[in-house]
Amino acid sequence: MRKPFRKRALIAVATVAVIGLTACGNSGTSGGSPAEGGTEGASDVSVAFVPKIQGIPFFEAMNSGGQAAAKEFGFTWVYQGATTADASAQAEVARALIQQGVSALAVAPNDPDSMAPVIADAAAAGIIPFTADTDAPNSKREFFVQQASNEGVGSALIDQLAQATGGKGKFAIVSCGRTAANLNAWIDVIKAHLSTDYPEMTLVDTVYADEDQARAVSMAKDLMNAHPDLTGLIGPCTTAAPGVAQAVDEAGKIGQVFTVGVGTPQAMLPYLQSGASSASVLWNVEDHGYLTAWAGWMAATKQPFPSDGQPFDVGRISGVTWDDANKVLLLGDPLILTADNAGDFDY
Amino acid sequence: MTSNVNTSVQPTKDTVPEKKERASSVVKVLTTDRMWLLVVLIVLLITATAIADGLRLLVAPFTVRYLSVSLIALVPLALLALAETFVILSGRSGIDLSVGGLVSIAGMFFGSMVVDHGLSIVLAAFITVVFATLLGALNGFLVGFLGFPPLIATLATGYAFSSIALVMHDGAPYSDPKLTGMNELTAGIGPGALAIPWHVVTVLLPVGLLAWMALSKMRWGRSLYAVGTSDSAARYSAINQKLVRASAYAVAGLLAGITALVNVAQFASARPDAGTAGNGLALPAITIAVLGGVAIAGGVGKIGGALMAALFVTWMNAIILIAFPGSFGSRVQLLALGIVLIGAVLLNQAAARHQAT
Amino acid sequence: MTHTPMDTLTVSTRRAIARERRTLIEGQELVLIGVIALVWLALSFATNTFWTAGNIQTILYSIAPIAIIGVGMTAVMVTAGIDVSVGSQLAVVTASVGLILKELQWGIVSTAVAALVIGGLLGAINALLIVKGNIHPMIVTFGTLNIFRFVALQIFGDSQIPGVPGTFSFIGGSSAAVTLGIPNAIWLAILLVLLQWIYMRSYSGGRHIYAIGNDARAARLAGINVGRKLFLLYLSVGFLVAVAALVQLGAGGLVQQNVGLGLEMKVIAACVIGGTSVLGGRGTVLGTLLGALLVGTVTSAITLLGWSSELTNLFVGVFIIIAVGIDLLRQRRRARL
Repeated sequence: MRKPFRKRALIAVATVAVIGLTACGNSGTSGGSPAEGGTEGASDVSVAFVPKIQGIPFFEAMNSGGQAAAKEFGFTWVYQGATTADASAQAEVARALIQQGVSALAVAPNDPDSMAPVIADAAAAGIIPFTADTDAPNSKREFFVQQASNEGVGSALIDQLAQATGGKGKFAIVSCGRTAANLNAWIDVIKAHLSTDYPEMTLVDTVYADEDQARAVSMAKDLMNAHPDLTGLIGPCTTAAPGVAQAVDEAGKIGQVFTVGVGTPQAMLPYLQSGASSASVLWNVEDHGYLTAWAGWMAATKQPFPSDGQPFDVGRISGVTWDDANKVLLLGDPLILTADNAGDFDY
Repeated sequence: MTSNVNTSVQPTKDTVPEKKERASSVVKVLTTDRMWLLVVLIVLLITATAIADGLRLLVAPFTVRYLSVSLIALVPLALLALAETFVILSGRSGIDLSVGGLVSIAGMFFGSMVVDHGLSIVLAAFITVVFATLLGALNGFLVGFLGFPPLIATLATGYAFSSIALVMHDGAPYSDPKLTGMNELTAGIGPGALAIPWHVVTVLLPVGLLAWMALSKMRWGRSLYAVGTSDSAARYSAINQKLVRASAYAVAGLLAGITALVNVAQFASARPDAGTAGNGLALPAITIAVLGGVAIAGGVGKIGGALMAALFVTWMNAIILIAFPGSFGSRVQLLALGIVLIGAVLLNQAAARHQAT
Repeated sequence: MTHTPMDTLTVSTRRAIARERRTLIEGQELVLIGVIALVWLALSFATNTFWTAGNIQTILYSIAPIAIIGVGMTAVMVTAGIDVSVGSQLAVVTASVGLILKELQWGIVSTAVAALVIGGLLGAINALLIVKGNIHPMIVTFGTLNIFRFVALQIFGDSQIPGVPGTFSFIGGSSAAVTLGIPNAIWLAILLVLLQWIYMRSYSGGRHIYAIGNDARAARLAGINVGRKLFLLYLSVGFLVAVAALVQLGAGGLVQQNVGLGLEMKVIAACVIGGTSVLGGRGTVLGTLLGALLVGTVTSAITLLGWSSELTNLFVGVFIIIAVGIDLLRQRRRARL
């Protein structure tokens, strides 16, 4: 006797489901056009950006740069990021933005190959997909807005460390994700420069602490314990840069072990002031966001980038270059943060 | 419970008390059977969103197409929720924390078969699923035969799997035109507005059906319920409880292997951290299984519940993203999942209490 | 909740517990001490840097937060419960305390009180849902794992908290925060472990925890206020998480959103390696401390030996299997006696 009631319940539920679906189907078709109509007028262009993860100052600064550009050039800026740094959460957010019908969609892929299908979906929906921060070269992205060349960041890191240690001695790298393409590229540049420019420096170990700051600190301490004559540490990501500096500080080895890294100004400022960190290699992250937003707007309004190969100005920033062959828009040279200038940035 | 329904609702037709009874038993089914509760929640969710869309409260238009495109995220979630359902059913605090690591290692194994050894996709896929089943059987051996607590055995093997996945190709993903071509499997089918991802139909539905048959129609399923409910009872009924329990973990491995293949197709590459990036895949899968009504103590749970829970969470997450703009939307996903998980249990319990009085 | 079948196993575990009470240090603890001693011996031959003060202090400090939360988690697991929300609890406490220290510049005492109040509140929410709501602890804490993480992210807003003052540096990871060569953080952990160890061993209130884990219904019939006991245990986890948060915050600096992510598994692993049964009724905090020490040693050893750090988890996994495997063999042999 229980079964028939289940069946009836099923029928009732199915009926409601059909009604629900029809309702949303209707409103979907009718809702689509007013949504477009709503943004018509002064700014019918919207540029969206999906960071690797929300909430870290790095991407939030890009967000504020993007907002500034949107105000200056007159378009809508949309910023939405997942709470975890993984490809599927990121794809979910990107799909929601595609559904939103933005004009251009910028992605900083957690994993370049993994984002290719979503980028293709965006292109199929008539949206201009492009990448910023991390490239997805094997995808249908129209172009890549690069912060600084891999060569620029990698060589600045090793140059800054050499400057602090006098160009000799043992050093180690505490990186974040083992699979992070950007970081691996920088590490390769560091290794290349080692043999050519700094023969007296030895890289003793490269370890991976993921995005876990506490782990970066204890791994850096482990490295100092394992190599008592270690003189340098490189933390090429925004978690490890303050991590290695904190480890040196806690181990009481300031002045003995020098650290450089890729860290955001406010996070690094205390360590730069105490000497636990010698320098942080970065770029103007707000300007990078500004350039990303501008590039999306240009592409959405079908304006080409200057293609004569000469550096040009974009609003408040200068020295931007466009590599037409590789479709890379480059912000410029990296920025070296020290105790003197890190306080100038509010992120 | 069943006897209650039987006695109270037998005789005449369409008398007033009978109608009342009917209404109350519909309510009863909805509040005691988790699957139907979730079906109702899905309907409510869609209706509420459609109304919100009509009132222009959403950031993006709410369309059938969006719902079907979102289903791409359903497949891995649902497959692993099924895996967890089997192991939790098997009792003795059954749980499988290794599915994340297993997805990573199986995906890399598959990538290596295809890219390094030049095997065809079909053959490599078959070998990968066998490989994953064996890894699952390793968990099963530790838990079923050696008596390791499931939590710790699968935590340890999960650590090992994820670590090996990272070193087997030097941390680099496998990406190859052959692997990229598998992305076709996840393309939308059906008329433009529907666009249901191909692998929902070709992978998830058949697997779900087989899982349901294995659990409800086969002797193995009955043995699993018996073992999950009580070891001693199962022993007296001449069930090899060690083997049955071990087999649940092997099945979970098999499902994780299929998930690994789906992941490769979905992300057009085999990644060494496919199952462990971010929060990993294990905890969400367990959460979905629990939301689907499987009892932590074992012996109680259904395939339909797990599938509906996965569907509900997938759509809820997709809808939240078009309902709340900016980064706040992603955060609300966490809040909503937590509330739904606890709320569903509270609701069922309130219903049970109501029934008792 | 815990309908443990009255089969031979339960009886044998009960007998085992009765026997275990007589000895000061139990089997699994001896096993772990043996395994740790072997690993340490191997390391002292393989490296010449293992026995440096710096290295020992690094290992000890890194396990302090796990051991501190483990004090509460062990008791909870002995009742056949679990709390998987500790990582998210830690995130809420760390974010709030970070803001309090940075923006309000509160002192040590007032900040510590605030941390305990916040941690206690989170623990109380879990406790309330588990005891009053009568929901399985795993379901409740899987739910609050998500909810507390949401709360933490809301506290963070869209930014991290940089430049947190080092108000609690005396229990932090600094090489200055040591007494007799041992980090203060681990002294604190040892104190908490000892108090809980004595309580769970020698006080009737502590023995009730085991009684609940063996058979909650029987415990209730025996006059134990099971609900109240469970409430206090989940509450205590919240308090201990607050202490662990202060230890981890230590010297201050940067607080990031992902703080505490995955912490629950580290704590649970330490408990289970230490001989705590997930099915309840068995476990000691001393074992948990040793379990944390084993994992901490293995993790640090990989870097010390210069092995590829991606292998860390593989070795941790292998050592978990070894430690728990020995425990199982021992139990089986004893069950046969």
